[in-house]
Amino acid sequence: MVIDYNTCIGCGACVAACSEENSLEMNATIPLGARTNIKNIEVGAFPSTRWIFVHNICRHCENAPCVSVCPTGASYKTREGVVLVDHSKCIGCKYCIVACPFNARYVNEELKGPDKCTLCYHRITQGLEPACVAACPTKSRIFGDLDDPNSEVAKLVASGAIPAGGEYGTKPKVFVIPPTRG
Amino acid sequence: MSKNKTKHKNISPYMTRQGAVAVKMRRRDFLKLAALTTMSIALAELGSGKIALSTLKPLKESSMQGPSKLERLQKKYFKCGICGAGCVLVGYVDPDIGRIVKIEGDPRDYVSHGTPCVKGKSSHLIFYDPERLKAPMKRTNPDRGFVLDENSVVIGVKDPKWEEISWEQALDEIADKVAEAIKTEGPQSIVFIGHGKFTELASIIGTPNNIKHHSTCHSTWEASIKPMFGGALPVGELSHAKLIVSFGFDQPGGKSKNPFVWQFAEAKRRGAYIIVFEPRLSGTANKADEWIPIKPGTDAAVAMAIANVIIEERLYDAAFLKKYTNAPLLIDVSTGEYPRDSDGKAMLLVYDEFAKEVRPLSEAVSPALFWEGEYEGMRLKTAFQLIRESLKDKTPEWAEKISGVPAGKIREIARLLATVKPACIPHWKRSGGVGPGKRQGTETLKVVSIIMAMTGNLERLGGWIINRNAKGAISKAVSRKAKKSFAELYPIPEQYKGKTIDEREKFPLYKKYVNEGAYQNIWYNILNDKPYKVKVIFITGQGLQAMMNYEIIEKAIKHVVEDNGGIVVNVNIYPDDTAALADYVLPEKWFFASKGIGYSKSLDLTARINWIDGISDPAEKARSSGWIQKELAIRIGKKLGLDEESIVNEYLPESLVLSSKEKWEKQIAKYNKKYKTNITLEELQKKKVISLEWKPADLTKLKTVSGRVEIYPVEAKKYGYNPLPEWRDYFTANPSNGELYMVSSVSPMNRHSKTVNNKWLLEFLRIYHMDKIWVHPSVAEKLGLKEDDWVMLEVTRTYAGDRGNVLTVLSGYRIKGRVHITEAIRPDCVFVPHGTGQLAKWLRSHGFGPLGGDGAVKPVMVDYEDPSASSIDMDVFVKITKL
Repeated sequence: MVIDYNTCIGCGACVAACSEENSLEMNATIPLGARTNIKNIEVGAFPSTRWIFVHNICRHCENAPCVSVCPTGASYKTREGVVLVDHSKCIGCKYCIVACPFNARYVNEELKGPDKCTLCYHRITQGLEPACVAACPTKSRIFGDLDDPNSEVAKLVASGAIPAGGEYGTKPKVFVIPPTRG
Repeated sequence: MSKNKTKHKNISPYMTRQGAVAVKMRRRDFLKLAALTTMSIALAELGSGKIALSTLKPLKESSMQGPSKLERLQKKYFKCGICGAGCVLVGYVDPDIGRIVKIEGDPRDYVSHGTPCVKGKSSHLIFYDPERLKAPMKRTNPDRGFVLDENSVVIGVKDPKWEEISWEQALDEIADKVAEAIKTEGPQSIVFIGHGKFTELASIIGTPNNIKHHSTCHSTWEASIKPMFGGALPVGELSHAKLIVSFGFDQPGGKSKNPFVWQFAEAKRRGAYIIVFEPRLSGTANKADEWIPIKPGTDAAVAMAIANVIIEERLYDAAFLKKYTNAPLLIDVSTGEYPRDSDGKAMLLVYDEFAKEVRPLSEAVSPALFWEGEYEGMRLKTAFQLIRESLKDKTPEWAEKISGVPAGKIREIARLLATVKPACIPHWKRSGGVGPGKRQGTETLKVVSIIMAMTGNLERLGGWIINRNAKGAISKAVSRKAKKSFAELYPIPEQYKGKTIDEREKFPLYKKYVNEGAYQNIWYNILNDKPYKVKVIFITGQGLQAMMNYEIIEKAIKHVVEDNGGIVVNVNIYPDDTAALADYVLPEKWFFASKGIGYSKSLDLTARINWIDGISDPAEKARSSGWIQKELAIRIGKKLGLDEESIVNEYLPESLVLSSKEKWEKQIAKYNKKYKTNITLEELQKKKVISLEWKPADLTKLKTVSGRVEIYPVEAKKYGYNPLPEWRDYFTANPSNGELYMVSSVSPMNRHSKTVNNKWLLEFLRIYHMDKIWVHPSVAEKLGLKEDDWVMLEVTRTYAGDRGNVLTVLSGYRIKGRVHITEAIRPDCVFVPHGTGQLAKWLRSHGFGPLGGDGAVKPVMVDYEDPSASSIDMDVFVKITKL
């Protein structure tokens, strides 16, 4: 996934769509902002001030620390690189929550365990975009196959989108187009 | 980075969304690859050590608890009723509970472009909100009004101690009062305030007082622009623009009507250069290449200087001006209108540079843009010459002194506007440089229109679009006007004929092109029985947050009830603060419950119609506004001595008597006739959304006197106004003694009272700090403020008000709120969010943002010389005090 900070207006449609879609998918309440959320960071002194709407979401890291610390294999990675949680194997130790440098996991009381973004696995496996991507009025979240050099996301990465939180060395699969202006 | 990928071979607005096309391609590839299953997986593993996403297949071992509900959801189509854009909404209904559980858009809908905004997306939360009004209510507490603290700060609204009553009782009691008022005072004593929902009932009663909110929202556009375009109202199309210059236009990141949002994002992706003049970093300014924090009230001066540069440096598109506008047409200097022949008919004359003489436009070879001279005893000048003269001294240096925007920057923007095409100066915000919240708005828009014409940016994508929606065809297919009104039995007293409570007759140009009411002075006039007593007030589809001066509103309502023996009726979806001021509150069905044909009210580029499936309203006792009006009309008529049959047959308008099917057939027939199509009702019900391609209008066949775009609007002169741009010193002023300019706006997540109780949107509003009063760190330092400290705010004076022929009534009330300290605002300004500030403590939105919002403190302002009847409620200075 690529998130374009140039066009995001911080409206929250992605956050709403995520909670709505996945609550239905899970037959449980996914609280607003639990799997993905937006923060408004103000930068620069007047009159050069700007807000950056910073998105948080699971990076589906290539070297996912949440998966490697999981003692039971409940946190796992699909063959395609999506990080998921198998609740039937989870013992609730919360190592994964602590291990994630991005705060992308939380405890869902109804599911009695850690919960996180699934990249709308139920949708992408049917050829649909994740709910947050489909809901964005400004098309600021773009989803696709990073391994396909012809995909929009791959082209965006090739043209300068940067890994979201790449400094932790986990090889995030969510990229950000930093805001440019002037 | 992601710029310029889409190839736009034609000008169709459809499917230009690169994402939609790209996704389709990916899906096809995905299906192809998925068919290879294990083979492709094996190959992929061998090849790169990674698996391509296109080989995904559903994994049932993922964290699901039983089968997901998603697969069983049923689709229903709706038209969003949050704002006038009217996006198509696709609601997913859970069959087990019969409720909408998810909302998406339809890509065939140009307005939403397939994605509703966050308000539309979450609008089912309002529909199913347990706090919605469930039944008709009557107040039992005679003491009404706002709760104030010791500093006259508005902190709540008095509990009306409602009791639930039956519809029978509510309708009978209201009809009693209305009939009595008609008999004793006349039909003019009934006043309807709101979005025109009760147009039918107003028309049946025969009152001239059906007042909409135009003068607080967009009357400047209508009074300034409509005369230039023969009554049509062009709107900016942003997605194709290469340059966007905004005078306080804050749609993309502010109010966020959906088309503006996706168009703006698309423009940005394609590399458009964006410049925003705005005292505060608005959501739109935040996305701009240049944010120019202009001094409030001076946008008109900068616009005039831009026009000056384009004219004096001869950067205008002469061919466009000569072909499509009245720039070369000669104006009789003594009248300010076109010269007239001996029969008094307007003559369209130009000076032909080829023949070196004055000739009729139709015979001229090369019309001159600049010429003045005598012709048949008349002193004539070209319209463009007059415009040039009016802007002659409006140099960038002059504008710099007024606005603080450097002259060099103004020149640079003027040159950009003249050379980059398409370019757009959008106009859609109430309190920005172009809105009626500021007295300068009328003039800013005059100049902006001239700039758009001079640069040839009319009727093209990326510029201003004139020919743009199906509203005209559909909305008038079924008449909402009463066949006969009760005023025939009980006429308006002679001395009150032609007089409205909002005095719209005092604004002839506005009356001609808008005639929807001047919103700002109704409460003041009601309070003063000016020009007559008001006995019944209906407030429909409109909340307090959209009004101004709560002190006057409170006094006026008490006056109507206590002194005039009248009542206030509120038709609402929430038992909110507006409802708490009324005697009766009637629950209205919400838009999801209606069924029929939809269209975009104001922002469609094309002639779209859509089918609305409708779903039952969870508020079982809620009724449609049509039903309420019909029931009231029959009851009122009976009390006036009529029988039910004659009321229905002779009085009620078509919209209240025709069956739904009859209405739909009429609407389809009208649409087919206008657009020469052959759509059937069954076809629409099956397809759900039908749109036509956009076709540009012929700019020489407008409904103006000359048929052309009249950048010198002779119509304005006919009504006694100056057709030329004019700067007046009272458009702005300098603060003194610690005063600050008040600025206000909304964010993408709220639209006044309708959305403010939505629990999701309340969360998102915090992203934009819309729950706080904003000040610059230098102000905070001076007042010793820390983030989240409480401050009190009051209006000290208005700067457009201290003149003759202006009514100014300051509010005696104050507001308080927590402070947000930010670099995103001029040091001489304070920002107060608009549309929040719910006072009813029984609603979840109570306590969010400064209670009462900007509405509580804004003044009543009427400038009788303003052609737009603008509310001018943002031309104010305020003082803030630490609490």
